[in-house]
Amino acid sequence: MKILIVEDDVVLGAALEKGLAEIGHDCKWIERGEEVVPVIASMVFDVVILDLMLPGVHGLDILRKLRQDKCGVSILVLTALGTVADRVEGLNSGADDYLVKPFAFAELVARIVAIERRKSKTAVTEFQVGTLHVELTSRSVKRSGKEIDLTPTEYKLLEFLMRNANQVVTRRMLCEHLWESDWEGVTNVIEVHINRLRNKVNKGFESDMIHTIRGSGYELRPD
Amino acid sequence: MNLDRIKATSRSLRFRLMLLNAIVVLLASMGTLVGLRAGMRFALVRELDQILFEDLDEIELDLAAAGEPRSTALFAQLDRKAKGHVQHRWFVQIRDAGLLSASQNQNLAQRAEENASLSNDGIWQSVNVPAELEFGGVEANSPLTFNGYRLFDRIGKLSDDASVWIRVGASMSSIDRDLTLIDEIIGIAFSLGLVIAPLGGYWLAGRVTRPLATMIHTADRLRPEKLSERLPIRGTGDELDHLSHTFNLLLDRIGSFLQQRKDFLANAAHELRTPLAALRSTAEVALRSKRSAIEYEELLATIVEESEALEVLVNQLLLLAETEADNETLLQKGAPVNLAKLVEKSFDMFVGVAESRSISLRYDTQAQPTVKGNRHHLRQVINNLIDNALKFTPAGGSVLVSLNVDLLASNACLSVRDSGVGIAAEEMPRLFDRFYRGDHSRRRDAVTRGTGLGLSICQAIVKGHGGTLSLESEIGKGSRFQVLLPLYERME
Repeated sequence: MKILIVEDDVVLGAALEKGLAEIGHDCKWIERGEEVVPVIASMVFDVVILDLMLPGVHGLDILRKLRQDKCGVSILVLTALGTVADRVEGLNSGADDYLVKPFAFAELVARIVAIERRKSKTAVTEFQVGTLHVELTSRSVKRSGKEIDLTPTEYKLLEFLMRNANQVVTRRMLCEHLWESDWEGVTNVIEVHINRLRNKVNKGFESDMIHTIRGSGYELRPD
Repeated sequence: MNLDRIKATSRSLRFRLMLLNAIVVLLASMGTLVGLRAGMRFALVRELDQILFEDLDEIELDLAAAGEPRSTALFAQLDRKAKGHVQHRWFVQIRDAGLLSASQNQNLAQRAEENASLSNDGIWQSVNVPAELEFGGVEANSPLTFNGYRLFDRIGKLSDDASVWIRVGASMSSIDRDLTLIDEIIGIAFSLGLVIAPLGGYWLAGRVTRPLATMIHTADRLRPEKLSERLPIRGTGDELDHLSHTFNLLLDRIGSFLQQRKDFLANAAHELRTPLAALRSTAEVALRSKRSAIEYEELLATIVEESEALEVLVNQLLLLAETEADNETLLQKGAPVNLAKLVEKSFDMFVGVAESRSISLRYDTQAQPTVKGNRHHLRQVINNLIDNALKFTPAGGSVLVSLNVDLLASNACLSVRDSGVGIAAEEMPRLFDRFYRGDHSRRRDAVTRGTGLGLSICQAIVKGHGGTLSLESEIGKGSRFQVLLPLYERME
């Protein structure tokens, strides 16, 4: 995926460029707001990661200009402005997604993937990761053909992990997906559900498909 | 510059009070004096009328008694009377069978000099009267005023049934003289008023505005960092004292608010330092010596965890600032929120944790109240309360979340009751303080460590929604947090 990173913070910009390049994306990083429009005009990008508080031109102005020019590139706003009003304004100005700093790198990756997936618009009816198979319409979960019985919460959790297979999914992302709340307390409300799901999925199998990534979250990988 | 000063002075309260006072005093005194003058004139004219009327009666009686032909003595008597009242230019005219006789002082007729063959030797003689004063044959008991004279006419009945026209008149010049004198007095009084009223007004206004000037002066000296000064209370108990008192109370409140801010900032800096120090030390330790990849991984993961703690703290500080900054607009922007749905979601979120700690978490609701507000913020309140309850309840205990509607007070009532360790009475008031943590939660480990902001945030959010957050607790038996929120209908 070709990604344009617009970020004036040198440390963060470099980290993003390195991190995204390492997972196979083709990245270009620029620091100044006024460069955005010419760069987009000369090269094709799939996603733009746009900071708002930029030297020169404000990110929202760039956003509006791009949308005015009917530029269809996906734009993910990445900013420290995190109130509800800021989010609404960002999305209304034409952003595809809005992520507030500080953020988990895994979440950024997941959101970039999600933006692209929304664009392709091919309806997915089933997932297959390794020996694990989920059918969305019938909500049936099978591992190597063996039916696994899950509670609704567990099913939702697994479906989200399947959708984001081979990517780290943070606890916050899971919280938002399952209970529509970015729970900020220290109590790990996800852990219990992950453990139960893990027990059910792994029962009778050698390998563990749900990996805990310390400090980040969880990742579903093929066995 | 000078013009500006004049402008500023003319806009001052003292100047305006002075001006208003002067205008009111002058208008009032002018009204009084003018009324007095009119009354005076009326009285004087009435007195003159009275005299003339009596004279008329007298002359009529004399004429009737004298009979025909009239004796010279009668005319001499009338003439003497005219002489005696020369300063009033008193006169009498009698027309009898076409003959007009007139006494001295008959200046009225002199004014029509060309019509009269008149000499001032005091002898009664025939005169012509001005056309407008020609006797019309109609009796006029009411006086008429002509050329500065007051006149009374009458047709007198004589004993032989003949009639005679009698006119008695006097000049009004004496009245005019009196009135001129009164006018002079009025003029002097008014001029005095013109000087005294503004001066008095200036003095009075000064008395009123002096405390105000003191207030302005004191307020001018106040600085956010130095709010120790207070306005003097003069003890008169008037409105200005009241104002001073109100002002002082406001200063007290601002002072304590600023102190709170200061404490908060100091606390926040302190609380931010701790995770920052952990972050830094971990990174420094990692860099100190060569390590295996596994060791590095371990240390880096710790760093990520510590940054997450820092992130939570910063986000909570921002949330607190956001909810406290502008409560009213937050509420105005509020949308209808189905509280039951929020509680269900929170309940579902924590039910796993509760089971893993062998705590029975139950949810009991008979109502679906809708409140006005921000669902994200309200959710934080519910999450925090349930999380706290679970945190301080030992294994085997229970937590009951219930949602009701108090129709009488039009409130939604959310309560979270636990069978936990309870809270000591002396601890309760401090519980909602920012960064306050009970002793049992002071342990710094990633699992139970909180930011100490949870309940402050709950309090701020509930207050911001126009509700109340209250607490009942007993050591060893458990606690009950209750949130009362006004129903949506009430807020609309």
